[in-house]
Amino acid sequence: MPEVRLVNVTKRYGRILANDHVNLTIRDGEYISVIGPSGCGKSTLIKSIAGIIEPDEGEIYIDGKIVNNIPIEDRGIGYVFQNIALFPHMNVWENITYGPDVKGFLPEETKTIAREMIEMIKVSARIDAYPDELSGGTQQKIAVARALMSRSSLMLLDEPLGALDLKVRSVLRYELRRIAKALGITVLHVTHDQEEAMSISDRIVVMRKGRIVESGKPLQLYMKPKNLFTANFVGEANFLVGKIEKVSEKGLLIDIGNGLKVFSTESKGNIGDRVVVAFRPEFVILKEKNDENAFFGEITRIVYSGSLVRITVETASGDEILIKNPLKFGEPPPETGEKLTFSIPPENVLVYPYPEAGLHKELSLE
Amino acid sequence: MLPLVELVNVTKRFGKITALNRINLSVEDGEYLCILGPTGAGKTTLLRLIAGLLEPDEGEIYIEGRKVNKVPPEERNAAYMFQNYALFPHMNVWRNVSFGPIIKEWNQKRINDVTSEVLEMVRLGERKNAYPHELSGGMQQRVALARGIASGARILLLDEPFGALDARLRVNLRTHLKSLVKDQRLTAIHVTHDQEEALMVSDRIAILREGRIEQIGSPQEIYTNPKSIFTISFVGGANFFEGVVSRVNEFGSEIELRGGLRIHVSDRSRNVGERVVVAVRREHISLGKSRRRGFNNLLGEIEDVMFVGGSMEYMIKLENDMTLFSRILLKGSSTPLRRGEIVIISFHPRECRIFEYPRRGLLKEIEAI
Repeated sequence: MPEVRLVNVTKRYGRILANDHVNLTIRDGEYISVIGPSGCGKSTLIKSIAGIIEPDEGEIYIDGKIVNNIPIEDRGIGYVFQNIALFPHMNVWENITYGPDVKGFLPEETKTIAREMIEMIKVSARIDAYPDELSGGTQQKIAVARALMSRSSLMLLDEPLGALDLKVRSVLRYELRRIAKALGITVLHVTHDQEEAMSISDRIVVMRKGRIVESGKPLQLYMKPKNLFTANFVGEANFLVGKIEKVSEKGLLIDIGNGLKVFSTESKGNIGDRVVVAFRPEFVILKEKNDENAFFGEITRIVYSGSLVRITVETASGDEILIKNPLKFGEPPPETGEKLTFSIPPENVLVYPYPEAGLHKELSLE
Repeated sequence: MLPLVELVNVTKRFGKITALNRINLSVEDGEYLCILGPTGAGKTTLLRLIAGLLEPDEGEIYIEGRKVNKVPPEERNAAYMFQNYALFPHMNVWRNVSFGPIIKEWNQKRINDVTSEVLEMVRLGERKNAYPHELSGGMQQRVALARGIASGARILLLDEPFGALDARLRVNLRTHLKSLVKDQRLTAIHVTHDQEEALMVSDRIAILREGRIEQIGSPQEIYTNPKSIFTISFVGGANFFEGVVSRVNEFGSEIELRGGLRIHVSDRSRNVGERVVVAVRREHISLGKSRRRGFNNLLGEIEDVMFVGGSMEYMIKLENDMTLFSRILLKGSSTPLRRGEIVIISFHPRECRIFEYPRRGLLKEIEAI
């Protein structure tokens, strides 16, 4: 069955290391997403597995067999990329059956699989339509169906929804997952959209500067990211610099300046360590005076983003804290200039060693 | 005060297709307006008409009170920014940004002053000697922005300015762009298909659909008071219940759904027997173990649980086989519900919006694909 294993895969473009000793195992039936800022090497990685790019060093195994020198068409994979590549002069049926035709499959067998695919992607009513008569979303579904026709159990999706409207994408991403799980295939999906990755993956791989920074289940990456870059990249977060003042069984007490202290249930660190404290804006609780980690500040900015209100609060230490809160019916919305008490549950306070390169550089998305 | 940009009955056709159909729109000086709509709605056409890259078939366009039909783009005081930045690849950042001032033959001191000021504004002062290919997409986008501002334009026409960028980076850049426009007292008309982007940066949003303005208003108005099924579906999304008004009294209306389920809505504007669609936003649907007083309470089973960056989204099957979505902001201490759990779904009658059943059918109004 299709297990993909990358061992020390390295690819250079001149002096730039696009992939730097990448090790990764994709298990059979797993839906993996690869995310990372532009230029992190995620496209190079998927193209290496596909056989479009030849790595300079390292081995790629599919089903336990080394495939480094095997051309793309013999690797037994389906590949879908961002630019929808349907044949404009062929209708849906012809586009979907094109692959197997040239491979010399039995016509009857071809037809049966094609019908199944068409039913699966819910385009039965449009099999006579030509690509230009279909929406971008439908065209991309057909591209996926065509790739599935190879009956390959490994699909490589390179920004498959990248060219589509967000609204369309939020529907299609579930379709992709549904199809993958229904067919039991293994998927590697490269995307620049963290939310997309979060909502459909079994596991997410975060890349930066050619390397894998971290990988894990979506919720785990979000709640307990192992490093600062991930904390910032998979969702918004507040970052404060401080020093560990006390270490106890319950956790760490961190001095963040101006007499303010934050308590975290994390355990790693020593007294005196310079650290970065991180917490997500939606985990902040409003108006709970007696709680642990209660802070006071003045609202400097309010931005509505539909169902949520984004409140920026300036604390006594001059730090700006972003809070996200749902808009509740019947409650008056907060206003700029208002004073506000808020607290941060200690179990949601993440603590990281202060990065050598500096905080700004560590968090940089570019 | 006169609007800075005004479109009066503007129509644009491409062959048999009417891309824009009698558009009326005015943009105030200093305003940040987003044009939001799906692909093919006519957003880019609208922007290109204002820029002067296209001429309308009918109607007039005014900028600063002057009719600009047939006035060339460079004389419209508006900078058009493309999705793909369009920087000069053989010129460094400084040369790219000072291009406009040089063309305008300003004196050297003024050229230098303006260029360095604008580069500071977009926080690229340190990268003035870099060439476009040495910069990230986000930086290139900022250079393009700086070039537009340096040319002296007071109106920024932004066509999906963050379209090519990483989703996480977009969040940072849009906040920065909004502050820049406000600090410099510029006016921005920003085309996007990203509803969250529009909700966060705009003073007003114009929803464009099939060449017409469907609704225009502040982000809050658009979100809390959508005038059509299309708008509520496109901005924020919702659950839709099809039904028939079965009773209207002083407290509201009762709607009978398929399978005999009944829900209450506060709205009393419909008549008994009328076929309607009731929309309830996903975030207004709470899930629990007990019934909530004064709420609609329905029984359902959790079919799927999805994590959507900061929120949990639950897919729930109701007794009448209808599927519902509930989105709940993840608070640190909350434990997500599990697939297979039976829950009570509650939503308040005031959170229900009621619409006339659409003539072309519900799907046509809400379908994304």
